[in-house]
Amino acid sequence: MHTPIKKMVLGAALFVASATSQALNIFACEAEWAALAKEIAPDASIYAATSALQDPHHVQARPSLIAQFRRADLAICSGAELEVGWLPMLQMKANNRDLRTGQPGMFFAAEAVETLDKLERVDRSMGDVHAAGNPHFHLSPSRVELVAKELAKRLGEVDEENRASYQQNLSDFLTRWSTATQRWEARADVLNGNKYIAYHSSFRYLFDWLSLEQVGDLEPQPGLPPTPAHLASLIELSRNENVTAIVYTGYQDSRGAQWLSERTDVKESQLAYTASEAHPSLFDVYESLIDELMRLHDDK
Amino acid sequence: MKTKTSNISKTTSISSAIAFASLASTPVLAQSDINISAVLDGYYQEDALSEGLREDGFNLGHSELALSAPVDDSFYGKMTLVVASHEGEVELELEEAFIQTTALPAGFGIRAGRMLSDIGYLNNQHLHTDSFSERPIAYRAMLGSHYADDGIRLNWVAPTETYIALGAEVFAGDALALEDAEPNDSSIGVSTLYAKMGGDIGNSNSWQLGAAYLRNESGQLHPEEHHDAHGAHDADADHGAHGDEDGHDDHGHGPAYGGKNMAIFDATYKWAPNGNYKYQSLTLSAELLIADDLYEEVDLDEQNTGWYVSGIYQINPNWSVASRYGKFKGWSFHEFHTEADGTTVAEFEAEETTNTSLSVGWHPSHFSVIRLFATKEETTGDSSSSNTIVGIGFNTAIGAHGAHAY
Repeated sequence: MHTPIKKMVLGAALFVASATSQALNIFACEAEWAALAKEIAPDASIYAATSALQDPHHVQARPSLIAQFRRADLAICSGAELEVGWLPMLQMKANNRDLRTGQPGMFFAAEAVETLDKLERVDRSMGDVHAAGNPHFHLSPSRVELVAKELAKRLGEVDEENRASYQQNLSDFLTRWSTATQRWEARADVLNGNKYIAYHSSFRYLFDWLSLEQVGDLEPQPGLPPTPAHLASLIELSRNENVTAIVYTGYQDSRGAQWLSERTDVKESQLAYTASEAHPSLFDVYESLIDELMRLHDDK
Repeated sequence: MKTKTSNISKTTSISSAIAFASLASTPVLAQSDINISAVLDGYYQEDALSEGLREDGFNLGHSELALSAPVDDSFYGKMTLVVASHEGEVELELEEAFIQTTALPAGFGIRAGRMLSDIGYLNNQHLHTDSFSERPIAYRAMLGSHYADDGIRLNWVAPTETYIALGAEVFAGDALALEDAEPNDSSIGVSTLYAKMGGDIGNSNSWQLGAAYLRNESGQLHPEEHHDAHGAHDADADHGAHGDEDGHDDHGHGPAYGGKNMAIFDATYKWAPNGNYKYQSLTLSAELLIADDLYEEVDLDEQNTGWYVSGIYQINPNWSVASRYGKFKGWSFHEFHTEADGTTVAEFEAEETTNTSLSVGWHPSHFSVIRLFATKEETTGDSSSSNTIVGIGFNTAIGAHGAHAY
């Protein structure tokens, strides 16, 4: 007679246990934040909405993203209007009240950092620019640190039970990050003052961090694709300035860079921009970036 | 271009780290700003398509002014005003004025006010996002191009990895009351039920399927009242004069064809290399609309049916091409006819319209497009005709960058 009751109790206990140990769902708008979330919440189920091959400005608010946004306990996005063309649609369609703007679960990383190139006045004749500043700040180690701290805090608010473990993971990450940052800075010291032509302002923070200079942009205006006339004007610029390399990301068309490289003998290179299968962690991304910048520097 | 080096480089002092961390906890004011956006749309075309919104010559298209913002912690609000020229007059139409809940639990959402119904694939999308000058003939004939009305919607999104959304709407129904239907005193003129699902296939492909049912209390016609009318075309011809007579705003009147019960099925597929929509992408979509119970009092075992397939190819950021093929077959009452045995029989006749459309868009930026468009319209039935409409138009967006629906 006792057996069924025991079974029921045991069953209920198991159900409770599985409910509490159910992984936290994290929605990362960009792959870099998915990689950072992995450092702070390694047990969470993390979904990256964009890959290293996708331009985060141009993402479709597709059904799969709405479904993932609906399931998420926390979303981490760059903010600074980077996702303005699609994230509000996900918020509107997913009916997830925890991810309303202003809730602890909706984390815009830009709120944790000071962005570069904020604009007092913006109009579209200037191209696709944002008053909130450049949103590609994951290539700034000091800003990654600030985002990590705020992320750990938010995770603790959303999932109080594991607050201590998020703080533990954070401090572990920060130790490794700071050691690695010093190593990268030491290695990259010789690059100081090098000049680059880049696609968009994607590497703005990398250049800022290592005191490198972007002397030209393959885009005639932010958000507009390279035009023959504009590329031709960069030939002259490459001659006048001592350009080390022409660089672009995995989601940007390589043809403009190749065209210019062929006519100027300046090397072109696709740099690791964010986490991918080849570079799963932010450490891997930075390592690859420094390696490639060093190679381009030595080859010159 | 010279890249300035900021003072936050290489090393971040502890004090600035703390300053930024505290900054993070303060609300960001920019998020609470009102979004104001305007769409400017103008065109020139030769002739006009049947049941369409656009007319011969130079005209203002579907120009919009939209305001939106969170109302408070629980609601989001949006208002869209449409300015269009019609019969040489500028008309102002309130297309949307709704509040949407943002704080309901368990994936539920409620929208109330004037809104675009969420049936089908195209209906909830704003006209200015279209790649063609007009909606497909099925939408023009059966939904009045786009169906917006006063009412309320409840929807639910499932907590699954595959997107599943269910919704139910009730509307006043005036906007979908047939042009020639008897006024209906029911306070709920239109009710709908819909389901959508969708997902990804690999990195490059995504899809969505939808099914909807719509019940229209003013979707049936009385055969005896339409002795003189061969369906919509005659009604359309005296549209202007009729409107002037009773000083009534004609634009936004219900469609010419309907049915008490309507089903809509839609399928959409999108592709971009590695899912990167920066340069190239392809959108294929198809919809089927079937309306039944077309006439009161008579037993007409026929349906009004319309469908289309369309493909939009973004060749590069500056150029896109789009083509669409669509058909609509609609039934109209012809006359009563007395058989040899003395019984009276209602006679109906069908008219079939085929549209073949092509458009080419030049996009100087993400916010502007200049489009050349052409549609060949063929009608068969009581009378047959063929007509080709060509035109050019611009469509630009200023102000806040609105997010795009799938």
